[in-house]
Parts: sequence; C-alpha cells; structure tokens
Amino acid sequence: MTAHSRWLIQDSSSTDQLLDQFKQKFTLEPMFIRHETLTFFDDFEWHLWRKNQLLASNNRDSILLVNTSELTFFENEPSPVFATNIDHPTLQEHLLTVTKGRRLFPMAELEVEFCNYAVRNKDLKKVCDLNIILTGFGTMIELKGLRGYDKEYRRSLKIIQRKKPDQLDHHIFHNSLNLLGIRPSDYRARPQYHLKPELDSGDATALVAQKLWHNVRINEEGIIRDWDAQFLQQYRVAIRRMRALFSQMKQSIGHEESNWFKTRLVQLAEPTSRMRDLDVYLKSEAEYTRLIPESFHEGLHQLFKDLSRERQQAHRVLAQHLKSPSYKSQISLLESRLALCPQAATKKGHKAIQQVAAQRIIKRYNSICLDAIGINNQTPDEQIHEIRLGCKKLRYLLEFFGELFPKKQTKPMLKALKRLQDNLGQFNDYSVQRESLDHYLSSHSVTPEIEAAVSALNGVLFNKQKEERAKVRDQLDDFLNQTIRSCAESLLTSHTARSNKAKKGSLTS
Amino acid sequence: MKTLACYSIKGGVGKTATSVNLAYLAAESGLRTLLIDLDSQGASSFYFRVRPSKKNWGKRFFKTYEQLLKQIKASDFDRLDIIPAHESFRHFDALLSDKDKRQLRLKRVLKGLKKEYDLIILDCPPTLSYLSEGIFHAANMIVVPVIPTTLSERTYEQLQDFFQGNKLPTKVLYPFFSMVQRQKQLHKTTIERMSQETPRLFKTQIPFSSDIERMGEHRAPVNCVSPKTPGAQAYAALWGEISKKLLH
Repeated sequence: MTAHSRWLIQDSSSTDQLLDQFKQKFTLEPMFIRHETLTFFDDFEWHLWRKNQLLASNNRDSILLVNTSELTFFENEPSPVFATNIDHPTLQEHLLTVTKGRRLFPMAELEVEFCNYAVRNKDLKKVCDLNIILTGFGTMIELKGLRGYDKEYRRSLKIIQRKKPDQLDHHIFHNSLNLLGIRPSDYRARPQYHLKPELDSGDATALVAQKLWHNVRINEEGIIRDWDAQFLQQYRVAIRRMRALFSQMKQSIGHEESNWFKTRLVQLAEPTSRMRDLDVYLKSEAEYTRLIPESFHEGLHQLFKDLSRERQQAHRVLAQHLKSPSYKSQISLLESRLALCPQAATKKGHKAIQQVAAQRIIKRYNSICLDAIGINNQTPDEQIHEIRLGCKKLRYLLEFFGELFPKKQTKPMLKALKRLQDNLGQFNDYSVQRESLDHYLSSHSVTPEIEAAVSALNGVLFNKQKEERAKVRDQLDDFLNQTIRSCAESLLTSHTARSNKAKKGSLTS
Repeated sequence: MKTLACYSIKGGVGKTATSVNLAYLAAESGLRTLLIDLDSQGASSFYFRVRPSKKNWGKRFFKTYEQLLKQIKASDFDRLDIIPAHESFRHFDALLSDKDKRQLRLKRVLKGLKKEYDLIILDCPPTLSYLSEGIFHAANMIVVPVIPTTLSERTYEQLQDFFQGNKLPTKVLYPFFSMVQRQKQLHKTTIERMSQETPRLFKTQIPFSSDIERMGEHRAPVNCVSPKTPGAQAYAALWGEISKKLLH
C-alpha cells in the first residue's frame, strides 16, 4: 500500500516556499503544468454529486473524474452528453452505473491550474509524486508515495508538515464548488416525506400527494425537450404513485375526493402511454437481438427502425400536448384541488397516520397471503397478475409511510418484497411484451422479415416467461415466512408503544 | 496472471532491452506489470534507475511470496513495478540445489503475486541452470531473442534439445530475431532459412539500432524516450504479437 495525503494551503507564497524547500532536498522535475477551464457535469438527479463524485471536461479532449477524492484523467474524450458516448470502457461502465444512463448537464465552471512534479532522488529515480492544484479558492497539495520508497515519502512529508497546512477531507474541487454556491437540486425520484407519526392521516395523504405532484411538474420540461427517456418515466411513476396513494387512502380523504383525483390522474397519464411503450422497446433492441438467431436480425432491425420513427412522431404529439392550453387547464384544476385537499376528511382522516399506515400495511400483507394460497405451476396467469398488483400496492404503502417506523421493522419486508416483485415484474414484462408484439403485427402492415423476427422473438419471450413463472412459488414462500409476518405485525405494536408513551407523558404533566 | 520470460542461453542478444521495453509497453496497455530482474548483473534495474536493497535477501527469494513483496519498487511509470536484481542472485543455483522440487519453487512463489499483477516479466540470466529450469516451469511463454547468426541459431537449437530431453513443452518457446542487420549477408540468409523451418517464430524483427543502444544513457525504455524510432516501433509490434498470443 502506498502512502497518499492531501492538504490545503490558502496562501500562494507558501506554495513557492514549499517548492524551494523540496529543491534543497530532492531534484524536483516539473512533469506538466496545465491551465484549464473545467466544466463540471451531473445528471438531473445529481447522482454523481450525491455519491461524492465529480465529472468535468476541459472542453477540448479530456475528462476528469474525482471519485472519493481521487482524481483520474481520461484523455481523448470530448465533453460528455451521455455515459454511452464515452469511449473509455471503465469510465463508461462506472458512469452508466452511477448516472443510470441519464443525460449529463453542465452545472459549474472552474479555472484550474494543475502542476505535477516528480520528486527524484540522487539517481534521478522518481520517489514521490507531488501534485499542486490551484483553483482560486485555495491550493491543494497532494503527495503520493511510490512503492518501495517509504523513507523518501517520510522526508517529503516532513517538508510539507513544516508549513502547517490544513487537512483536506474532500478534493479541492468539492470545496471550490461549495464556495461557488453550487448545491444539488432538491429533486429526488423517490421523495422523502418527513411525516410526523401523529399527523392526521388525511393531512399526511395531502402532503405526500403534493410532494409527488412536484415530481410530476418538474419532469415536464425534460419530456418536451426530450433530454432523456427518464423524464417521461419519472413523470409517469409520480402520477402512478399519486393514484395508488389516493386509492389506498380513500378512507382518510373520502371516496368522492379519492375518485376525483384518480380519474383526473388517469386522464393525465393516458397521452404518455404510447411513447413510454416505444421507449421500453427501443431500450430492449440489444437484448432482443441477443435473444434470436442471426437470420432474424435484419427483420428485427427493420422493426426497430419503424419503432424509432414512430417514437419521433409520438414525441412531437406529446410535446405539443404538454404545451397546449387544455393540458395547462387540467394542471391548474388539479393544483387547486390539491391545495384544498383533504376537503372533507373522514373520521379515519383525523386518526394518526402511523396507526392508519400500520393497519393498511398489515391488511395489504394479509390480502397477499390469502391470494397466494394454492398458487402452483398450474395456476392461471390472471391470479399471478392479481398477486403482482397486491404487491405493488404494498410497496407503495411502504414507500410513502415506511419512514414512520423503525428501519429494522420495515427493511426485511422491503427486501423480500423487492425480490418477489422483481420476479413477478419480469413475468409481467414478458407477457406484456408478447401481447404488444402481437398487437403490433395485427395493427401494422409489415414485411415478411419483420413478421418472422417478431414470431421468433415471441417464442423466446414465451419461454422466458415460463422460466420466471416457475420461480414464483419459492419467492412467495420466502415473502410469506414467519420473519416477514412478524415484521408486519410489529408495525402495529410500534404505534401502540408510541401512543402509550404519549398518554403517559400527558398524564404526568 | 501470466508469466512471460525473456530467455536465451547466449548473452548479449538483447534480452534486457526486450524485457525493459515489453514491460513498459505492457504497463502502458493497462496491465499491472511486475518486472523481475533475475540477472545478478542488474541491467534491467539500472535502466529503470532502481537500486536493490542493501540487505543480502537473495537467500529468501524462494521462501514465500511475502519476501518478494517486500522488495518490490515502483518504477517511474504507472502500473509498472520492479524487483531489482541483487548481487546475491549469483548464488541461486547453489541455493536451489539443496531444495526438493526445485523446478517448481519459482512457479510456487510467483503464484502469490497473482492478486496484485496481471503480468510478470522475468529478465533471465544467460545460463542453463536450476534457475532456468524453474523459469521454464513457471513461464506461460518464453520469448527467445535470436541474432540471425549461426552461433545464435545453434544456441536456440540447444535450448529446444534441452526442452525435449527434459520433457518440457516446446510450445511455450517463441523465438524472434533480434539485433538484425539486413545489410549483412549472414543475417539475411539465416533469417530466410529459419523463417521457413522454425515454428512459432514471431514475424517482428528487432533491428540493430543506436536508439536501443542509447537506452543506457537515458536510463529509460526506448518506447518512452523515442517511441517513433524504428527500434521502438519494432518493440511495439513485437508486444502486439506477444499480447495476442499470451492474453487471448
């Protein structure tokens, strides 16, 4: 393991003195000195920033990545737009994972000077690397030891420590961007609701709905400008979550208000469905190509060309719709109703959200248990779909209200639920893909090559669906075991314990 | 992890220049590379300006890989480390003669380095000894520089005979022409003859070049100092051939 440390020096004359002192003990060879204007990039959700990473381009031919304070240069890379445009395989893979393939936007600029010196011994062998990075907000001194040259590293360390520099926890770029006032947006695909356990369940429902509504609105521009496919996906997910919320909490806000919102939200999502379907298809091109023999690839290629043309058209229509007065009036109507929600909270709507949420979660869990009885390999697909929908509802409840309970009570349930949902989701995806491929054939006049490719694909997807189907029983058993049941039941006791404590508190006072 | 040995029974054929440049090119291509200078003269170490430890550690070389780890030194180049030669390496044969399973000692001790390195390059001394037997067992590929002269050709034949006589697989032997001077009639005819008769002969020929000779002045690989020169380009082409065979 080679030693490596970094410090902050505020005053530039100290840096010159430091270099002079190095020159007295070693030969200091400047390897490169570069002045750069760096543009920093991140995606809409600030995935990189939130993981303590920074991506920058020098706007010519290099990309820099700061990962856990370690700076790496990648040469011959133009300014990034998507992770997929990056040539360097390791960087591409890393960015794909962190940014989830989202578009990268410029978020800040910094003027930077990089100086790299080789610290050499009397044989002129490099024994340490000395990096000095100046940003105008301070100077970062970085010393890296080389394997087998510990003594020389310690001597270099002494020279630096004599200057009494400040320790630096993050890379100087982080500090400089912070000083520039760069902060991530508060947008999160999964918002945090910060609900208080004793809040009325009606009010809590409205609060969650408003946060989700914020996510609906914020994604509109990205859909209109077609920045990436995630804007539409997250727009639709936020609407779907709102629908699920109003449906699950109808006893708190009243059936009438719940139905009103549900109907309007369905209307809002409807014009986006075709484009989302097409996005899903287009994303699967590589996978579909892998699944079927080469003789069908030409037909599949033609199909994807058609789909991509159809998507362009679907996007034009959707963008126009989102800019239209009728859409805007739909929005303002929904917003004014949301501001007044709950208009007529029910009796349950005045009960504490923690208690209501616990009851809903247990009820949903029990209902899945009932549906799961007797599921085997011969059960009709419709019953499996029922269970999938039940699981989805439970998942939403845990997402909205999970934070009201201790993590150890919800985590095992969420983990098992995720595994089950992955399995059921795959099963459903294959079935939906097959249906829509059939639908595509019946509704479009296609070439014989496309028809052959679609039939071949359909066959492979059918087998895949069967494979997923075979796993359902085991996954259900895992989800319905005693540990998960106890977790679900403990939610109610956690509420009771809290309310008893509150009562005791009020009696003593 | 792969082990590549650069070996010849004959001295002065360009083994060290080859090891040094191949190690540099391998590291440059992204492989975590360790060059072990087994030749007690220490020429490889000299080229990279790395001095050996003052301690007489050669007697511990074959004990455990931890002993080797302690001696590793970083070069000036990313991903390239070196175990410099030590004067005590002269006694390797005496050391190995006392040990059981001596042919496998080197292989076993190198195995411990597989987590840290993708490629180990052995710069070997020009002897046929217990140490060389260990090298023959440890290496996935042995590249043999051959000057296209009768004498050098004969030593390559001797090496093949040794392999056959000791039931070692000759398929790990990959010769290539080194220090080639095409204007010399002897070089020309030897190349023509050997090219037809020798299996696994690499196409690349390393020319006799002043740039390679001057490596000692610069104390750096020719591919680093003057990558455009014919010598450097020949090494790059040779590395291309080697990496294709060794890594894929």
